[in-house]
Amino acid sequence: MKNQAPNELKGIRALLRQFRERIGELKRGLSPLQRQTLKRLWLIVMVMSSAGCVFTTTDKGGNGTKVHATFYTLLMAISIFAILITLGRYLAQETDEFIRLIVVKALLWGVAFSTAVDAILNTVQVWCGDASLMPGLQMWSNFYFFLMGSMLSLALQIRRSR
Amino acid sequence: MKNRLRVLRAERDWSQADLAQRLEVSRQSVNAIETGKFDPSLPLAFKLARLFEMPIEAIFSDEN
Repeated sequence: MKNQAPNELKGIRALLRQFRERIGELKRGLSPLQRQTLKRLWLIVMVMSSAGCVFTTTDKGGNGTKVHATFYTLLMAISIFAILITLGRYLAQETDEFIRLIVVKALLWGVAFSTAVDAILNTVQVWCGDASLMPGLQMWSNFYFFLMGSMLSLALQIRRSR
Repeated sequence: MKNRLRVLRAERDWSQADLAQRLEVSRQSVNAIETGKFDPSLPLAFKLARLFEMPIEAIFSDEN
């Protein structure tokens, strides 16, 4: 048993090293425009997530003030617009037509994925007959599904065209 | 659409990365064109034609 733990640790360390190397390879393969766009997207998502955390911890179980809710709503709306503008600018500036094509495909898969998740969760909610049984889907959680679907699709398409 | 990109590239002993650099596109683009997964736009087809110094129809041909 004592020998197993260091072996497991070695395995985890090796996995982490592989992961770091893979991320490094991916970063090296990105163009300056792609790197800049990713940085902007991360920044926006981090602001969105932080605002979400602040709101859920300060809204007193849904009994926050109107000003509080309005500020939060505006922040979320601005973040979503900022993400769409960032992606739009990237598509407009990307000179490689094949990369542009796979990014557009990935975004469409993201829309499909988020719509499907939305439909499934809402159907389950209606089927349960009790909204409290299922977590409510808010617009911004939909947007995380959109980003997840897009990133997954992009990764698969890049893998296919290696 | 069929193309002779792989053959033309091999004749010049260029890698996909070399060709991509000359065309100012990604290596994935060259790979996708070579494997027929993606048909290039007219500007890129002309760029290829200029690079290989031959007409477009000598590089690309309609499958029909």
